[in-house]
Amino acid sequence: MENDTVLKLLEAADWNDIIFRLTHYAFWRASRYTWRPGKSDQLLGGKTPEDIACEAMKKVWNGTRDWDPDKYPDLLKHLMWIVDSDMEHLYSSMEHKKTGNLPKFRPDDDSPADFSEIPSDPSSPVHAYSPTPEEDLVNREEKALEEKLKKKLYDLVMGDEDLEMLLLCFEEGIDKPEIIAAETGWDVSKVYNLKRKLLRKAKKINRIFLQGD
Amino acid sequence: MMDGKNRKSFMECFCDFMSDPENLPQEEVRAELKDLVVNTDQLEMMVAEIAKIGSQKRRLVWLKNAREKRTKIKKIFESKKIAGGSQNLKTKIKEILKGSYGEVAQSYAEAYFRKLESLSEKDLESLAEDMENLNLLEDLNKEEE
Repeated sequence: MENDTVLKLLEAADWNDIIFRLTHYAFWRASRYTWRPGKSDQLLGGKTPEDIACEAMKKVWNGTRDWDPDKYPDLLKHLMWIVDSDMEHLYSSMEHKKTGNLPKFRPDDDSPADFSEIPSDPSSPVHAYSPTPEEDLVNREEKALEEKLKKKLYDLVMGDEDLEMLLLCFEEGIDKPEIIAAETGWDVSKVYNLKRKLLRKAKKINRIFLQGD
Repeated sequence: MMDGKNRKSFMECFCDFMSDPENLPQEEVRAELKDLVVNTDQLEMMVAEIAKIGSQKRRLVWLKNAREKRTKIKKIFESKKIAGGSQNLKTKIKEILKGSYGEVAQSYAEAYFRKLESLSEKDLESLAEDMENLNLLEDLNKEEE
């Protein structure tokens, strides 16, 4: 697509709507990492989800992460991909600095392939890496925290059968609305309504994430 | 159900599910951000500024490229000896070279001129006829629309 056409599309975009949704996305993506010990702003190297969202937007405008509307017509999705990529990079580099380990390989992740995430060769002696006692302790602490947060979430939705069922889907590793709908027999619009219901409990959920309250 | 090996953890699923902004009304997203102590008014101002600066910079690049292209085409046009008495055709060809008929027509005309040392009225007629007879201009315009 011609550059002037891309410019026109960028100028016509509803940036207020985009930045709100992108910041919302960045916040929850950050939570994916920050439920682990630590606070969201500390883990993101002093950056906030708003910073990450605004930086993604700047990258599209200045062409660092050029947008090709022919390949990716949805600008928000393109920006979400940039947020994902930047956050993964930020988190991985921090984890690497902290532990000296390579970033975890996430084969189910939708984000594009990153050479730093290629799994090790099983025949390699490095493959049979076992965690140090310190790492083992950190892993156990993380596991315990996850269990604690999970319990708080179940307490939060207690008595609401639909929301409880939704959490059970997460237990099964299911998070895509279409798949949740297929597994539960719900209409997909019901899944979105449940998400809104969960968001209305956002204050409590956010407190759980940010303060480990 | 996901198989055990590739299954995401509960918390990963929860965060990924909640992160997807699809089908959420803007008011709810905005209200949630306010709950997260995000200054949405400030965010709006920042975004307007990023878009303004980004747009200005992109326009400058676009203008620079357009000027370079125009200079290049002008040189090609001036380097050819166009025969007198063919003002209408010259105007038409100029329009083609300016890109008014689309980039493909422009490239076609440029390539045509490069082949010739000088241009007679007949050459110009031939060029215009070629393009018109092939319905090229019409097709290009349709494509561009």
